[in-house]
Amino acid sequence: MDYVPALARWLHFMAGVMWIGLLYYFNFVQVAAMKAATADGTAAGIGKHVAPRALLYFRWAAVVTWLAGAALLSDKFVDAFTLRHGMAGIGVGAWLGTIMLFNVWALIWPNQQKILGLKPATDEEKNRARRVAFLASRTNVALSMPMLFFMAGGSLGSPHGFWATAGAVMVVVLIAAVGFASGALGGLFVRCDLTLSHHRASARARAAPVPPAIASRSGEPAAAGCRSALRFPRSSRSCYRRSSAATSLPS
Amino acid sequence: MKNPLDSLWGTIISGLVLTVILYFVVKSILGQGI
Repeated sequence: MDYVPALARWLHFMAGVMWIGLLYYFNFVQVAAMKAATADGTAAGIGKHVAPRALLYFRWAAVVTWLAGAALLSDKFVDAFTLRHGMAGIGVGAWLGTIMLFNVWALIWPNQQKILGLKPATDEEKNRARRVAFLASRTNVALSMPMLFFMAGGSLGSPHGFWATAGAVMVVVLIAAVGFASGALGGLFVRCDLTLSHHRASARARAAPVPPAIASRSGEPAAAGCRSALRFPRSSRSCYRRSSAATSLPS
Repeated sequence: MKNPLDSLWGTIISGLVLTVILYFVVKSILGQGI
């Protein structure tokens, strides 16, 4: 076994999984999450703590993937990029990967720096940066599909390569579909469970007497819904705002 | 016309269409198997 190609292949796969995994995370998860988080005022956390870290691994994984892929092609590098000598399949994959790498470093990252405030920009520039970064990212999702098809098919190199690839793609799609379905169902169950727990806790709190601390601060009994706030600090703020004692309590 | 990349399904369908087109380009025009 030749160690350099084996290591290059291993590195190419690992970095590729990280790169494309984070690309799918951004497009399938974070875009929708940011929209929902902006609506309830919690987007700052994602923008400050999650996005910069995800972008760090995303952009450098892209570089490592490309370099490891180039090392793997080795003396067939030129043949692949010129689509000659039976290297058209892997060559198309290599070209698509190169375009995606360009999108990451020339379009997504510079515009994300403006969006996240790492680079000074006016509101108008930020809005434009958002659109450019979004479209570049979505373009990469679309390009990743033929890129993976040709990368997988190109490495098989047999007359049955297409059907083997088609079969592999179908298996991956099936696994992804099962994953999405179970994830969605799992999410639904967790949500139901949290809602039920909240209702049970609220019912228990309503049945319990009002803690003297709340009653004595305002000089009057707290609103009924605020009893559950002792268990759920986040809802407690809105409860205190609703009650007449709100102004005298710390936020 | 709405940009297909604005929706996830539009993006996925675009990717699939591009895959099919590129497959036939490589197979027919360049005359090479995948």
